[in-house]
Amino acid sequence: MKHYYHDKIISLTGYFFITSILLLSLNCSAQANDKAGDTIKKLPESSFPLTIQGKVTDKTTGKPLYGVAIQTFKTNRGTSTDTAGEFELHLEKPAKGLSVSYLGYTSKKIILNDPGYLDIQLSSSISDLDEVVVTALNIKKSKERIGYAVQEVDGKKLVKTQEPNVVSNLTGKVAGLTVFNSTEFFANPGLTLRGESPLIVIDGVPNTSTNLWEINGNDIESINVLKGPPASALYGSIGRNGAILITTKRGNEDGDVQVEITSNTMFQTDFLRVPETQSKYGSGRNGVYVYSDGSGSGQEGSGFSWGPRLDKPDPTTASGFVERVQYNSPIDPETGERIPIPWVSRGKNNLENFFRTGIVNNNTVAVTAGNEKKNIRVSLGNRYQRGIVPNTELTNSNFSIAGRLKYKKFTADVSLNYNKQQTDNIPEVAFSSQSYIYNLALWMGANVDVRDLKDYWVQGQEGYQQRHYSTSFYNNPYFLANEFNRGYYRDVTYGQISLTYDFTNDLKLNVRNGFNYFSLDRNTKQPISFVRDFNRTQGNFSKSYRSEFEFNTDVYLNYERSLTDDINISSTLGASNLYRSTTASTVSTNGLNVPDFYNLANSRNALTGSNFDAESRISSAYATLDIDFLNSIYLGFTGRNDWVTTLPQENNSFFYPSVSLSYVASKMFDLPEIISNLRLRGSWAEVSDASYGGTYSHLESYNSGINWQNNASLTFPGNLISPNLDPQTSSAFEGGLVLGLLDNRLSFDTNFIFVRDFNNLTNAPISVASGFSSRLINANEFEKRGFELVARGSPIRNKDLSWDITFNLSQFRTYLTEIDQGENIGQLEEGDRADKLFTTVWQQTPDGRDIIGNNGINVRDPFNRHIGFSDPDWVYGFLNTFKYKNFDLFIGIDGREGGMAQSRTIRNMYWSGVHPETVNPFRAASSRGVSNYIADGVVVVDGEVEYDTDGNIVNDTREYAENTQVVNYEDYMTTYHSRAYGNHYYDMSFIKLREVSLSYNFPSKMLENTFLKQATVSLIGRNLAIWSKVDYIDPDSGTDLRLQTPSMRNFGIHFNAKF
Amino acid sequence: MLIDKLKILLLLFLFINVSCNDHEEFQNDPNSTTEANPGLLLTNIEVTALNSIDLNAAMASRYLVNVNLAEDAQYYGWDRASFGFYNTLRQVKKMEEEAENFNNINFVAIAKFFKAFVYEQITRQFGDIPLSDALQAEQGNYTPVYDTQRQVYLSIFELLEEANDLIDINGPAINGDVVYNGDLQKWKKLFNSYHLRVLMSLSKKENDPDINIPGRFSGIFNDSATYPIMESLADNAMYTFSEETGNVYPFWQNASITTSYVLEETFVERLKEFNDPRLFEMAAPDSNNSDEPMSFDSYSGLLGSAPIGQNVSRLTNGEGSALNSRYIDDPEAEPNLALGYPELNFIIAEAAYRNWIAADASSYYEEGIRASMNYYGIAEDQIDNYLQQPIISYQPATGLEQILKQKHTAMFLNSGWEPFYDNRRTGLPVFNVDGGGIINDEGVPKRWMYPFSEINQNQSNLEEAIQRQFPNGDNINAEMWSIQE
Repeated sequence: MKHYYHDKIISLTGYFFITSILLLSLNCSAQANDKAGDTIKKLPESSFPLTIQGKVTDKTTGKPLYGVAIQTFKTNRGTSTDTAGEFELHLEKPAKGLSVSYLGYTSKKIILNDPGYLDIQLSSSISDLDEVVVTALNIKKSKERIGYAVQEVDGKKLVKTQEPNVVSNLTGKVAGLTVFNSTEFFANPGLTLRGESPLIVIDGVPNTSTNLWEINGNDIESINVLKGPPASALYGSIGRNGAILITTKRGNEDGDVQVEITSNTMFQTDFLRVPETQSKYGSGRNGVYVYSDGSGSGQEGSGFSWGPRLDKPDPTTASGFVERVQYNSPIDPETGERIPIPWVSRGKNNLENFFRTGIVNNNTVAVTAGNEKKNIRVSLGNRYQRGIVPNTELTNSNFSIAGRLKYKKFTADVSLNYNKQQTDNIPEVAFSSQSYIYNLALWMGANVDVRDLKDYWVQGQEGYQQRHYSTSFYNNPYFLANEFNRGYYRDVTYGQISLTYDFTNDLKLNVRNGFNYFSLDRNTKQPISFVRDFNRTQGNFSKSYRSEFEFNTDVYLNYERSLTDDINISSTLGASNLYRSTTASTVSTNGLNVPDFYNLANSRNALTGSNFDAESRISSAYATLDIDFLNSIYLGFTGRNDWVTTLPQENNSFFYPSVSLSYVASKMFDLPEIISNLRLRGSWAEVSDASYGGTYSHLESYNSGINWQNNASLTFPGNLISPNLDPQTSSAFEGGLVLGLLDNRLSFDTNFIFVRDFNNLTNAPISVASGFSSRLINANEFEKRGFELVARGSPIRNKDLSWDITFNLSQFRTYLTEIDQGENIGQLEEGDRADKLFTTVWQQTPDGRDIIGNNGINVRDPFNRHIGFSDPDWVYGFLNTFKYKNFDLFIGIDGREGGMAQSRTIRNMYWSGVHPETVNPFRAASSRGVSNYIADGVVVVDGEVEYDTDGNIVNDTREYAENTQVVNYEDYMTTYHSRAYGNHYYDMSFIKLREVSLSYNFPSKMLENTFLKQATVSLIGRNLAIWSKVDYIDPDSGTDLRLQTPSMRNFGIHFNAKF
Repeated sequence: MLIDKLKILLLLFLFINVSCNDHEEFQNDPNSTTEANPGLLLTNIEVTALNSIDLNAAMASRYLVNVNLAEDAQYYGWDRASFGFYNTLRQVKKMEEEAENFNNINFVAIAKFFKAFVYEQITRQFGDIPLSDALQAEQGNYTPVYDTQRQVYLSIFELLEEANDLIDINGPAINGDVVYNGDLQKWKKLFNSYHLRVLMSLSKKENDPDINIPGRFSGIFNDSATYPIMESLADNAMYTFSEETGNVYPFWQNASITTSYVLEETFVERLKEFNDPRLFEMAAPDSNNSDEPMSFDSYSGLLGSAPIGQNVSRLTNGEGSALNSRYIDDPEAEPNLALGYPELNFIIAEAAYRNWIAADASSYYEEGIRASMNYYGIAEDQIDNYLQQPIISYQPATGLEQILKQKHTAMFLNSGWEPFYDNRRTGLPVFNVDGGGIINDEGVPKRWMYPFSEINQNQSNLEEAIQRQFPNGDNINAEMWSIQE
């Protein structure tokens, strides 16, 4: 049996949170005992000058470590170890301590309290033996004691190539965590943990209203992902889907005042993915285009690009090209008629010409100060983003203050953060005339140069009528950018105070109060003549206000004790309360009287409005018990009971038990030398929640219906609410194996997950002929099965060069295992994967030929058919850190394999006639009025097919012949691509070169005579390359239902300095 | 000292946690009401159930064609319809319950009318539907059995009889009425006029002695004391639009209407052949003739059954009349007419033609035309001129065709799918299907397939209904009971 006794040195991580957190082990008790003698005395100044000698070894293997950096706290004096792991450092001036750091190992701080020889042991940071992570309720535990999956991301790894939202920086970094990165300005990245939306906890305080825009990446110390219910069971109902714990930075403890400046600027210079459109044919239908008034009716063709060929020479005209009257034709002053201008492809680069270089800039200044007893950190951050759409800018400012105070048996930890997000315009993304891609790529013919539209008012009708080539269906993109604006102003304040009182070394009390508050003010300015849903509007202004408040309290008592040398116990008893309230309101004008005057008083007709208020509370009591045997078997139990207000009061109480076991086999047995760490873990938890729908969704009431000429009305909702609702419950099991090889230079952490979701609060559909379309009941059972792997390795580790790899891989599947109401849910049957996709398809023969109708066009199947699955099969990330002397290189690659989604962009490119594949001889014929397209498929010449009600063929006597019906190509394409969706679902697999950063750390010698203590400069790139099966769109966001904005490459520079 | 202060602080912190509200206080939703009066439900029921402006109906009934999209309705390529009307029935049932709570018999009568009205909308789409077993989810019946269509119609007649019996002109007032503004006599007239419409919709069953359609019809028609019916346009079942948000005419400022829809050729040609002045109110001249709006030659239509490309190329050649601009420019345009006095006259004229009643078909036919012209604000002398044309004057030999053509014209952009069902029942006026673009091999479909939701939620009852009605399975060309001879 191996023993791990403490040196006089105290590990940085172990010490940092020591008084506010439960420590559950003998090791930590020993630490506490060290501390009981109060702080370690430092060497008196009289001891200096002094030469310190010592040796650094690997804690596990005892081997000497070569090239370890040794530096004093304040000055820049430093040295490094030789091949024997030994060092010698001469100190002229008094110094308090040394910091010891080595790549791949956990850094240490050493207080100089003895002039003798220092024997320093470093632990490999890729072994989980000494790695301490934050778990539920902010309790820090050594990783080896944990029986469930937790993965930590160091805050330092998030700051170099900062995305506008820090969530995006987690992409690929945690197995089981899937980030769907949107290409849209100020859009929340989709975040799922094992397929569900996790709870966010900031400094121990659950924050159910955050979208993480309010967090500055530079303020993050670390992020811990508690992956499943066993890990997050202590958060009760809100923690059912796992939790992401964010710990913010605190002041430094080395008695020094330090200023840190971080600056990060990225330019979004070019398209990674963009719809490419043909520029051979212009606007129109059937090869004809005649501009009349821009209404889109008649010969103009209402925006289709099925018009005449562009760039056709015509020697008879002045320009040498065929000329036509167009929207921007000059008007002959004598006749008043429009003068034809060349019909040429002016709009080839419309997207490039319209979108501009985006900028993401983040500057943070942080001041830290303190010692072991009190410390403080103040930071100011400003994130600025300039969107690629003109007139889009976002300012996101942070102010945060955090500190810790220890006084005798008290520890107080406080943080307060204020954040302001403001933008005057968030571009709307939709499949409609508010979208830029809709107006620029799908429906603007190549005959239109977007730059000619910069003057966006019709002369003499400024404020009343936009100028555009078509004013009925589409909006001039410049008009849209400058006049149709959606403002967003969000003020967020959050913070917490945590007090700990150590009654004895064994017993402590912790009280934490935390709050989150935001107020959000939004407005929408719709100018007069703005086209919305094919309607030319009278202008509109709407204003909405929302605020949410959340107050969270936790009180717990912790007791820990060694029963014998081999058995330790630790127990917690606690209670908590979470109160939430929301208030929201919206008011809209009905038309505008005066253009460009956005005030509710300017409404043409009566204002409309509504408001919403909600209040809810969860009260809880909980207890934990951890028992350690022989320093290698760790057994943990937790139990929590919640009382919620969002269920009928008879059923509002529920209990969540969890049990977990971690068994460090490598500590108990002598394993072959190659195995440096072997650990098994397993855990089970049962968690419930009542978060179906909204706060009051368990109460039956009327909705407001249409207001017809000042007659208000009510409707009764179609969801019948069962009076006996129970909470919905997950029973989650996970088990895993941690294996460290070759002194932990190679390690594997695997995890198997099995979750049964039952009693789901479901709007189970019922026959609408019963009077209701669904019933809110506890129904159906799902099973989730998953696999996660975190593999780490250090293929190269020399003094000058090292290479560390982390590989994250996960798969997650949900199956519908039981249906309680009826035989299907939609078209899903028992045993089906829950992400099975069904959609409208074209009819096919049993051997897969398309069936063509007697109009020459495919026949639609009257049944929606299964076409694939929406969830990815695999999600992975491949992170590489290289270190060569003072250079660091990080390369992050990640991707997803499998999963289908519909691309509206591609579907509509075919439909509108801008898809490059639509340029072919059939179109050429069609534009001359010749129909020569024969669809590939067969026609039914005899017989019939009969289906049962599920769409299975029960009788089929059909006989087929090859289709010979000639059809107009344009007719075929516009019909084929608009009447069924099945052909427009694409495999969303991709691999992305997500992140590259090359950093230079200025050596301390170089900085010796400057005021700088540390400086790093990096060249950074993000979203640099992609390989995918789908063209034109970026599958990263996982969806293209709303016509995604082009995906951009980012290049920039990062600078960090401390002084 | 400091330690004591900190201890006090800790205690204060604990107190903050203990002071909380009782959980019961969170059980009231401040955002919606649990109480309603029947009038609050009526407004919504009227606006939804009586909504009669339907582009799909206009395409399927050969009034309009779409030149931008190959529409199922125009090319007869539809498959399923939904059971969405049952959502309206839920509101009707709630109104009936609230009416009983408020002890207001007149709301009960109106609820019975709306049940009849909505059930008929559903049954004529599909055939057999749940009725006697329907609307009982609150009693635990989530899979209602289907009634035969014959039984559905008998229940509808019963509901309409009850409504007429119950309504008390001198009884309690009703509120929330955006159709008749609380005029109960007009409601009573609507019940019976509608009753006549339903009876006429079963004209194929006129020889079924059990159900006795002619007898039922004459019973109502001949007893105006018990069964008053509409007597003028003022009795129309309709509601008006206004500029308020959500209250505008559905085509108002809608670019998709102006650019995608033109009038159908056979309809325009008929109006031109009849020199019908209503054409100028319904349509705009085609782009070849936009400067001569008052000439019939300035109007043209595109063929509903022609492939879209053919229509587009005719459109690019300047053919095809769009809708009259008032439908787009005027938020009030024209009322939403669900059942009008003109239609009632044509129903009576047809009953006379069929000898169900002893009445002069010709005079009801002419009154129907006159009422429709009045509805469009056509001058009296123009109406007289129109009626005097030999092609218009009623001839018993061609009476049915004349009545149904005029009825079809009068139902332009109103009365929902009524013109489509008239055609299904009589084949008149003829809907063109020979232009080459029709999707359904058998031309105009006879019905809609049952919705997916019933396959998933009520399969065994649905299968039983399909098997007893349609031996070849659920398809759009099968004939339901009501249209079988």
